[in-house]
Amino acid sequence: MLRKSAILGAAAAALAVLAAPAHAAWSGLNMTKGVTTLSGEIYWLHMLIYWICVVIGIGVFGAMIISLVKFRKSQGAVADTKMVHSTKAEIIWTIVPVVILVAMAVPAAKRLIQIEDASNTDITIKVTGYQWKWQYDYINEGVSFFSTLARDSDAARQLHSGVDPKSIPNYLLSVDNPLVVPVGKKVRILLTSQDVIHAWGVPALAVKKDAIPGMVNELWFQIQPDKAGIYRGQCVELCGRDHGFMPIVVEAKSEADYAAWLASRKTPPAEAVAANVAN
Amino acid sequence: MQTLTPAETAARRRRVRNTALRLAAFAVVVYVAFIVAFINQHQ
Amino acid sequence: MDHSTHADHADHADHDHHGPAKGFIQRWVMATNHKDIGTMYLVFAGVMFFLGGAMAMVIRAELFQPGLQFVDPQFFNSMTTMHALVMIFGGVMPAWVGLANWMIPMQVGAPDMALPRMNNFSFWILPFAFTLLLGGILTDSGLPAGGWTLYPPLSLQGGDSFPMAIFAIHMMGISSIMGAINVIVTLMNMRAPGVTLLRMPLFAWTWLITAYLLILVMPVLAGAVTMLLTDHFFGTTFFNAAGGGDPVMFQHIFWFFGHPEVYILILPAFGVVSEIIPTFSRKPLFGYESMVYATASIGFLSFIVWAHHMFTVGMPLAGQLFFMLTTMLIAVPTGVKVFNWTATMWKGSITFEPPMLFAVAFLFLFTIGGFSGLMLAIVPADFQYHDTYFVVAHFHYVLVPGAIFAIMAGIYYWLPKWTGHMYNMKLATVHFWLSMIFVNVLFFPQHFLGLAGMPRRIPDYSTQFSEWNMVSSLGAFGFGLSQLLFPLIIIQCVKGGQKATDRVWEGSHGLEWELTSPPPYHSWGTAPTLEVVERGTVGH
Repeated sequence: MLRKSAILGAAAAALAVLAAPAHAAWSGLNMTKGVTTLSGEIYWLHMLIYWICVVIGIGVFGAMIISLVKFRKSQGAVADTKMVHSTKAEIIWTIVPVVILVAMAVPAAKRLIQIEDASNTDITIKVTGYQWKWQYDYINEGVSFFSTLARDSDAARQLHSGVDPKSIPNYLLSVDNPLVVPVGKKVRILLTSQDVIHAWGVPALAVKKDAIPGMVNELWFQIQPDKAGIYRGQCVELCGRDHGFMPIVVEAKSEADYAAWLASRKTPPAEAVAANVAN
Repeated sequence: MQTLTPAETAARRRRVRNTALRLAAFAVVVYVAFIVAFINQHQ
Repeated sequence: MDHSTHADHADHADHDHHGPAKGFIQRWVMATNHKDIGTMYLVFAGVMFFLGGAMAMVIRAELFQPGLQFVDPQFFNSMTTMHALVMIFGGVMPAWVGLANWMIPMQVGAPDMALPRMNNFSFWILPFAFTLLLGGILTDSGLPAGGWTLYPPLSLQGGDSFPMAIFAIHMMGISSIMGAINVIVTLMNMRAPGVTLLRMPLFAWTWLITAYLLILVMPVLAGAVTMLLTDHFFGTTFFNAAGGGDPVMFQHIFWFFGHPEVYILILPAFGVVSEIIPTFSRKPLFGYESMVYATASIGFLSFIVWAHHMFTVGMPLAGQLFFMLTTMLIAVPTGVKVFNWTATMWKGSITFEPPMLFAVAFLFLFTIGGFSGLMLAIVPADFQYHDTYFVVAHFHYVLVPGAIFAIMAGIYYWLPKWTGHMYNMKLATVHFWLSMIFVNVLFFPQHFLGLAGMPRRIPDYSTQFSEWNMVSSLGAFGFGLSQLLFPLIIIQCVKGGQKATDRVWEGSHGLEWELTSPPPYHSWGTAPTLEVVERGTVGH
């Protein structure tokens, strides 16, 4: 009675859950394909390396399982004590991995070069991390605001609050003022921080970078034109007590809606505050 | 049955002490040099 | 095995000939015997494993469902921080030093470690270091909560427990360096005639390389935390951008220590597994020399991959490419090791005693950790994985069923030799299966959580992550409870049990098995004869 059955079971379960259509709360087993021009490519790279690992795994685990089944003393196996070395085998299992690694490094490097190319951006937004909120600053537009955890989530997340998180829509992932960006435009984000290191990441946009005090980091994304919607992320670098409670919400609007929103934010502050709707 | 002569034991002891001291000195040098390097880079 | 009785006539002028000193203080506080010190290290590591495990239980209890049920977020951060520090510096590292103390002299035909009094000192620093570290709970600010990586500026916000933790880390570093020096000088000078370097067992080899890594990187960690200390208290600005410093520089220094540190935790595991798999396959280790070279290559590569821990800090493109490629390269020597272990089992005659069960589980699950490591090396994908539970799953797969299973395998392997008794094999097998099942229930779902985007180090989470967190927590409670069997089995075995033979296992091969069970107080008071060395060392 070996691990075989356990492993087969685990593999079957893993395949079943991967293959199952996204249903209810047990979905979210894999990386999102995302909504930007590059996120799908990153997902593809992730799946490529995943399947390469699966194939290698089948080979390696297969060999292990065969030896564990076939070469058991209880099955009358007699050890071949002369089998201690094989230059040929050792050369093969050094060269083959190198070839696989090179094959993987090439597309990864290509994609990385694309990711790092932040030229020709249409809009620049400065994002500043604070303990524990974000500030969004639309450069040259005179629009700037803070984005903090939505009140209903904040009330529910207190110790012994007695509020069921499941009753709160988008618990811990909603804010008072979301970051609004247009779809189809190359948006550049400049990241910095006022106190400790934070990190700004949104899985659907396939971006993540540290916001470091005294330094400015840069990232960009371009949401596909038909992918208007709300995308959520969180601070992803430990930043103190309320690290878990400074979410990021990005609202992607069509160009026209974005322009209208920007104009409305430029109106006097009193009206802007009144116009705030929790997301 | 192999037993070391007193001379061999003494020689081994010397080697042990020397290696240990050298390794310890190396660790201290790395520690100090490291900080000094950053002080220099800093000015 | 008459040769082993020669140890009784050992001529050791400055040691007791006839066994351990009487009295607690003489035997333990003033211990200079490698076995006594090894035992103390292992007991200390065991206590720390349970302490760090209790912290993990607090973490998993809070994460059992969304919302905050038990602890304040600040205390939660303290738990993640302390869990890491206690497990790494208090659990895994002392356990390896303990095994090294017990086994290295026995394996290379030496009577004891080369520097027994320093050995005593390096152990006795540890209880004080951890008292200081854990004493932070008595300060107003509570235990350190900035993460075990101590990134500034966050770590500089710590209260009175911050300097205590720094001082504790200095002490642990000194202890580790002394332990490493002892291993190196023992292996370099105390090997019995005939035990050449390439006849040493793999456990001795991996420890030799580990010891060099320790001496190279512990002073770097000490330097980094010293600079943190002066930034906090003496107005320097090494890591403060406002004063011309660079907070990212700390991360570079930390991971220049941190990555070799990862291999310090896992290389001795490679050694133990390389001893156990041949024993229970009744076949010599396949590709002994390539194992040694692969270990050395991993040791070397560990110094040029550090920035893969920090791909999101905004490094230049060339830097990211370099660290991606070097990181991927590590898969090659690691692969060689996995293939060699598999080839060792191939055409063997395998039995499944508890040490072999743990070693085989290591083989499977460490490889899974290796796969996720390979995925993490791909920088564009790492931007998605970084600082999520995918990373948590990865490093727990290499550290729990990796390092810790290997430690348990090693203890189950050598325990009959140490005590002279067999332990309860049935119970140990139960311990194995419970650990094996629960460790996967605990950590496998964390891959899903990470891919779905759940960040690390958060005390509460969005409801979409509820189900897998609950599964993971149940696995954690199961895993934690099953570990209570381990001390039980060991205590039973120390107290008594079926008499162990000198060989203990049918396929055992090595100088330690040429000694009696339990071995004489001074292992090889008289060096083994060449004939014994020939029989008991690797040879090829």
